[in-house]
Amino acid sequence: MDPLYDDRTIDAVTRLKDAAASLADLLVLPSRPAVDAWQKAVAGRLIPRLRPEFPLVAAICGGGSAGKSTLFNTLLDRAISPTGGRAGINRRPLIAISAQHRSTPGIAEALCDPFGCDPQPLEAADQLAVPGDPLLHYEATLPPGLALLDTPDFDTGAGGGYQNREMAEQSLDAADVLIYIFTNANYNNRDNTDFIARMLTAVGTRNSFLVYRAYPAFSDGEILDHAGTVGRNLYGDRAGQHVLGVYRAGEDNRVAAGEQPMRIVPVGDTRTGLMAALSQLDPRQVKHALHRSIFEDAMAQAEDFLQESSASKAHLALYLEGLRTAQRSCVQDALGHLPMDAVVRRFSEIWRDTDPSHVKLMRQTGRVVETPVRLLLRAAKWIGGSSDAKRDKRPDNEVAAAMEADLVHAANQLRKTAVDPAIGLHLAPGDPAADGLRKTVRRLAADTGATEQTTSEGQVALQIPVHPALAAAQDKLRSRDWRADVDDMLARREALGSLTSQLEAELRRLVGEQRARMTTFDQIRQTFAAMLNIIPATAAVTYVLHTGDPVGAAGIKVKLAGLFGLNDLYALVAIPATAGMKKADLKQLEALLAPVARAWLTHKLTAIERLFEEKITGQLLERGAQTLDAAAGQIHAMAQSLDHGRRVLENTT
Amino acid sequence: MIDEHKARLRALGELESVRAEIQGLAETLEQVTLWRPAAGMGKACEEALVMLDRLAERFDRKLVVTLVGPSGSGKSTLLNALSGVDNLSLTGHRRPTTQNVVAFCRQTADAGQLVEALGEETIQIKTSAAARDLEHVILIDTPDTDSTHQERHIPIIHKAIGLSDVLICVFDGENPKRRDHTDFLTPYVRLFSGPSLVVAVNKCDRLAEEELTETIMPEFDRYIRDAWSVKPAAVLCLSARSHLRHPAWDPEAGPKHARDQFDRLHHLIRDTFNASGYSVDRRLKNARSIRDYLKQAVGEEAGKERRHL
Repeated sequence: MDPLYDDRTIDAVTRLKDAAASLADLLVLPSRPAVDAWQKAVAGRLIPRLRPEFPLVAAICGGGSAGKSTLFNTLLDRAISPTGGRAGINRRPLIAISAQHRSTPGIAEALCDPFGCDPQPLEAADQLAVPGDPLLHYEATLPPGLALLDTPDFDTGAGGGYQNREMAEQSLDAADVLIYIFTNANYNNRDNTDFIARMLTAVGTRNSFLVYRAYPAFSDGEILDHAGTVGRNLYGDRAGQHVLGVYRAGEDNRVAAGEQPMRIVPVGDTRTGLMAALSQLDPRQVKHALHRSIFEDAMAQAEDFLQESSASKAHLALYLEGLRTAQRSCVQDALGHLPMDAVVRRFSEIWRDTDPSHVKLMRQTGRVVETPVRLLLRAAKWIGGSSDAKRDKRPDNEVAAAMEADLVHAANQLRKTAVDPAIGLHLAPGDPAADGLRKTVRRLAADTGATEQTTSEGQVALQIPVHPALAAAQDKLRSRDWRADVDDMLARREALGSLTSQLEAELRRLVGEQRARMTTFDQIRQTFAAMLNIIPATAAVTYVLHTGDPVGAAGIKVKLAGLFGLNDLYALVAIPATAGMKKADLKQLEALLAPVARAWLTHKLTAIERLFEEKITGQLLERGAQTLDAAAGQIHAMAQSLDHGRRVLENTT
Repeated sequence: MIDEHKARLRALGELESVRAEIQGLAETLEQVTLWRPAAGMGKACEEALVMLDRLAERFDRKLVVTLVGPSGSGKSTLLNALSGVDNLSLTGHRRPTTQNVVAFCRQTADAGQLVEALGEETIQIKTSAAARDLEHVILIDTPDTDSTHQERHIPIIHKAIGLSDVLICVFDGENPKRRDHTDFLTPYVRLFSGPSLVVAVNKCDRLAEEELTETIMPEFDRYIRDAWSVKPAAVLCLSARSHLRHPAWDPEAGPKHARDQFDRLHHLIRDTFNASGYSVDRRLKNARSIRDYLKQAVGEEAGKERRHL
């Protein structure tokens, strides 16, 4: 058996169709109609029509009053389809098959299947003038291998729509080959051309016979010329391959009056009469070629769809990454005024409390050493021209107000980002996180509409549009009572800012660890460490200098800016060197403080992040992650089925 | 002559008042910027004002009667039959379909207004002795509306219709209810008052007489009124080819009967449209029809809004 039709191929196609449907759902992909089209074409239609006795279905179609029914009657050699000058008489398809099939079970059913109905016999000609399901006629003279289908025209208008288009579409869909009849008035009609070309070539390509109904005065050259135009309109460059023959039918009053059959004459290279040509076609071969072309198109479309899905999945991943980046930056903004100095002070206290007695004595001298540093600080402020030097003396309630404002501001910012149609990010160019995002934005720009720009301040500005799969989650977020959420967050702010018992315990653990790690030499050096009541300033600076974690470092910078002002901060960087601190001291300082800063930061960042996820981004991130996960599975399934499909195409001819 | 001048002056006055009404409507629309349909309606008003200006300019010019229709409906044959010159506009299957506007008038100078508006390369002027009595009318034929060349044709047709006073919409009698053609004409038809529209169902010689009179014409009459919601001056069945000097019928496909209403169309053009002063009336009626259409459109939208509220 041909691998095109074997069970494994049918399974693969079913899996392909299921995976595609599920991907279209998950990722809200716009190409769903195409997916549906080949689903229908491949899965529904293929199998019942493969029986060897199933006839070839030739559909006669054309515009209103083109002569479809007259041609049908002529080919059948019996006037059963009503004809007339009034366009749009026939409102339902008429199928004629050989009388031999009257007793073959299943044939009539399979013929009517594309129309979604049971076979109904034609009893009277006037049944055809009433819209409805197709009717079936058994004709003794028709060869068993051929079924003829007369179709309603597809161009008559009614009430702002087309009268019969849906029915015409089903008819063309059900056909294996087409007989297209046209006149001088409509051979080049744009509307008809577009419709029929779409029907013939959208999924698989159906071949056709062209019949030109023209005045006898037309020369064969003109007939061929116009038929050539029709062929090009239908198939483009591939017309030669798909037009099976060109015929002329004379404009004749006796024919129109039903007194004579139509005379259908082959023109040009076409030698065989139309009926003979139709009878000579091998139904299985035609169907196989058609099915193969449908299968090819289905595979090609599936491949496109798979690529589109992958791009869409990458878009979703990019959006989620962007949202997380935005969240990180908002979390840090929310910590802009948190009392880092209080934390370090507490650490120093714990440290001092556990100091050996000789160190406690030495501490008095520390005050002396402290003085030059203070002088330097003042100088730094002067150099930086900073005017907010007084901010380090902010009263507690003011700090509290600022912290509240920070939190509200950051939360608002994040919420806006999360409900906006696109995420806007401003990142420092050296930031490794920024580099990764930039690369992805550039790669996906065409598929997602994401953009990258450099601002006048030299920052990288990224815009990442939201993925449609998150539309529902975004709507939900939008409809939440934001005021209540903010109030709730503020109520919990107290706990965020204060030294929780957990952090206290962490600090104690760190002090213990540090002491245990100290060598004898270090313990001597501790005399220097004793003067570390200048810690708040230098601690974080050291951390900034020596850490490789830009996100964490940025966080501390923000806090120091809060304490000293940004200009001072950069001036302060020089302190350790000019203050005569030895490299070893610096190292020790860092070893001492880095874990403190890190512990504190992690603690607070995590707490705020949790709060933000609960109130703002949680659903988006979760829904996004689930979608990514599910999509990855379906994409894998599709890729596997496509591999099978490709192998099938290689093995059939 | 004095009367004609008077009539013209009166018409100019009335046109000005129609203008003022539309202007008022446009200004009102401008003030309600928050109402969503206002922008579109305002644009329609603007376009209408441009058309009125053109009408005013045309008051002392000839009445432009334009044939529009799909490929193969027989526009050119009809122009030839009406002009009495068989080869005025190239017809039949041998020709390349009409790609430009063909104007038929008494003398080249008559069509000056059209040449100016359409550009020399898009219009062909045909004069003939047969046009002697067309003192006040220019007949023009347009490219088809429906073929695969329509992208090129439609801007030309659009311009030509903008310059027209009367439209003769030609339909192919063998398939008159084709949707694409009806849809194409619908927006244009709104710009003309009923008496400025003629519907011509051509090639009726190809249809059996009884079917034509009993079914096709009555059905089509209903169809066109539903589609356009306007009552044309006339819905006529024609066999333009029968009125050529040499119809050269195919022996097997001659006319099935002699019924047609070509004479009524001929009379309409030669007597009614060609009457002196008619053009002024026609233009005024078209102006009023534009105004009424705009008012109605704005009213309908406002009504929708009210129901909404």
